[in-house]
Amino acid sequence: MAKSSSLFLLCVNICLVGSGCYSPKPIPATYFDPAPEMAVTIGKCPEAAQMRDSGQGGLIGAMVTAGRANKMKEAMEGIIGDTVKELVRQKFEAAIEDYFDVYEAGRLQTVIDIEQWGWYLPTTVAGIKTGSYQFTVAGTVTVTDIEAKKQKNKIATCKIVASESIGDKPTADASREALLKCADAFATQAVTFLTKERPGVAH
Amino acid sequence: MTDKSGSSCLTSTVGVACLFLLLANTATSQTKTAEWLDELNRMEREADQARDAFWCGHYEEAERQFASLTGSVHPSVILYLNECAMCKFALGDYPAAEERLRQVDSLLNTYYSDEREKRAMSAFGAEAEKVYRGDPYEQAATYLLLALVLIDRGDYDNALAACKSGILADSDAAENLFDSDIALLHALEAKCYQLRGEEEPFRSRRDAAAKSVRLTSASVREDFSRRQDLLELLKMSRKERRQVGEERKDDEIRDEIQNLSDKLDRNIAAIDAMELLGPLYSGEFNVLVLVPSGRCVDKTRTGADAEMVVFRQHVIPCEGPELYLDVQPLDSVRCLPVGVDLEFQAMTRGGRRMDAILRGKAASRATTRGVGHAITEVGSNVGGFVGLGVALVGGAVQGAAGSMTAEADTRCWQTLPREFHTYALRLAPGNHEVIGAHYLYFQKRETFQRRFTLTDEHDMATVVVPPPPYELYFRHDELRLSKRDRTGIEDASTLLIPPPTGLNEIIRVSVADGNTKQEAIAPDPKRFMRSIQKVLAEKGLACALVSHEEVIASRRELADQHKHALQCHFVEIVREGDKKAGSYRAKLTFALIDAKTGEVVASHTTEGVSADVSSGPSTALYSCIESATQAFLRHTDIRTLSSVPAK
Repeated sequence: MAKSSSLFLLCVNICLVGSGCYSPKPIPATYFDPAPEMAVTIGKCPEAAQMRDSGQGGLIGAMVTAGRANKMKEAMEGIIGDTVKELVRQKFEAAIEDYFDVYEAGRLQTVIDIEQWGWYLPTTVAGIKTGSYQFTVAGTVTVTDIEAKKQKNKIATCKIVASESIGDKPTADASREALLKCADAFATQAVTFLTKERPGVAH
Repeated sequence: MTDKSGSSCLTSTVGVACLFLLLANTATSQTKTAEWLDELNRMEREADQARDAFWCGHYEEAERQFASLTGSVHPSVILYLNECAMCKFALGDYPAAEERLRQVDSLLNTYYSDEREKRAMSAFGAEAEKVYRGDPYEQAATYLLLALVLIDRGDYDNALAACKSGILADSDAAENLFDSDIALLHALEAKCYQLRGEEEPFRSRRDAAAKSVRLTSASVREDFSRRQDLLELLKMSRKERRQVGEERKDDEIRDEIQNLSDKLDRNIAAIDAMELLGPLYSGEFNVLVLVPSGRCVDKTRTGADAEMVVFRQHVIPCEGPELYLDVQPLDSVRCLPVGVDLEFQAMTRGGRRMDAILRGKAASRATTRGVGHAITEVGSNVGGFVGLGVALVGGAVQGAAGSMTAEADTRCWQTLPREFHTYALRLAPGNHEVIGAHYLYFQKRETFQRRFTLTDEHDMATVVVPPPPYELYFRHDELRLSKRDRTGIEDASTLLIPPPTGLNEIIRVSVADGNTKQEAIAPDPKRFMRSIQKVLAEKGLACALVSHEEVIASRRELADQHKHALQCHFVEIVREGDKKAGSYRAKLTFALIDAKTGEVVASHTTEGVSADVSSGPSTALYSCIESATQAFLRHTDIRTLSSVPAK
């Protein structure tokens, strides 16, 4: 189970990284003293939850997964892309506020693109479940300095994948709880990475 | 040949039939178990609604809902009777609370021993496996509350029995590894002896109370727990130690135990337990006032496979009530430094924290969104205490999400406070009255009152104050406000805006049309407050935002510096129509509060409308808030009422 989850996260990371030329970059130390104001917005985010399994291309697995996806959508009770966007933004803001003042507008503009959110289920090729449902949120955080030259204004970027188990028979409560934890984990991971160059931190 | 084949055929037929019956029986039994779990989960969902009502201060509604779940004997009835009793306490109906607690006592006695439990199980059937008896701290709380009621009505013999039952429930009676560490239970037991005129046991029991205070003191908790861990480690086999990632040899562990013991002895000797217990030690009190604070832990599941049952802490701070005794303020200075820390009791066994050895190995301790997780015994509370050994080797229970499965159970007493603060007072015989009120930020809520008569020097009374409206507060990480949010806060006439109430981290949008897709919003309290501030600023009204922590910590100081506060309570948000021709409507209740008195100067429920459906429900919510604030300002002349000057 742990193996398949790790495999999944690895795959997601490879997909994210492989989708373009990417190298993670934290916010340079010069931005921390004095810290400019920051604005946080969410860029793209899928409107509906996505259901994925280990798959490995199995047709039966895909059919079974499609059936499971419908049940899972019912279990989510109204959680849509808008809900996820707003939650991730809030958690990120709360975490980054330790270092920057966050307003509607600011010199630093942070855009969080959520590439995928939904469930992952470890399965065999035939669609037989081998572990618990996982709730995942994956995306990219980009920080831009609007006062810098256009070619060099993208000062920091990172890709984040957060995952949380929701058990074998997920309910609305469990999915909601997992979403909250995932949003929290996403924000914590992103802020930890982005601020690692701040003065006083051992590199 | 024919006979032989006939006989063989018969044997095979009988075999197949037996196999079929066996399988059918197993299937039926599994179906029955599943049905019962569904039923118990349904009841838990209903109980959750009652719990929400309880923590919003709607005690009658909560009591009605809990009472409907206690009409018959079922595996969760003890839990709901306990929760029902808490509602009765909050309503000041002590006789009814006693009745419920006595029912709990009677049911607990039914499952007191394995043999009795087996007998009860035969009557219950499959569902008996899920009989809730409560963790030791929950059983101890039942008997503590029962003892308080019995003392209040002068039944000291039964009160003594209740204290002893509570102490027994919280002790390791089977292996005599530890005694109960709930100091108030020991102190009450001592008081009962004193009231019965038995001086010798009074002295010995108050010494037990002093011992509990020393062992549970914040300055020694950590070391005491660590020593208990190390003692447990010594008992474990090499394989078990490897499983928890422990490599040290026996001698090394023994040395560490010795060092810890020396340190503990010094620290324990430095604690003046008699001073901390005050009147509870001397017995010089005849009125006991218990003030609930915060909300006790509940249980949830975590782990890669959601296989571990953990405690979830409710860590949002709440202000204590304003209390008056016979018209005089009951100053918090008179509150004893030792209370009943139910959260500590829930997460420890004999002073030993349950997650200590597992920390960082079998389980993680995470703190997210204002709630913390701490691992509890792995397994359910079915059948009571689960052996420490099971927890130590990380015997994970394979469970699934939901309130309960065949293997894991997250039921627990959720109407308990995190802590009971205690006042032990000595009053003259005669009529007395304790009155008080909780505050929801600046707003004073309904007043509660408890009258009692002390007939003579030997009479005693107890008062249990209702809990704070915990669920009305928005559970959120600490709200950090910017300088802009707080512009003008130093000005006395600036209107204060505390966080909104009545919100959850995720709220559902009610959909008018049943066929429309469901939606949910994750409201941002800061954006919520800023939307109100924006409208007020547009109207030229000076206002500043204040955080939850700030109001809880210094409401009186803020009230001294400012005349009024504007509070907003979220009622609901509804979506009508579709993306092409639809709208969102949010209902909010605004209340202008006189900050000093807590009285409501003006209150009005308004509706804000947003026709922008395409931008999504979150954008619509904040647009609705602005529009509802404008409607409130049109309805209420806030400037005249609060004399807020123009900016």
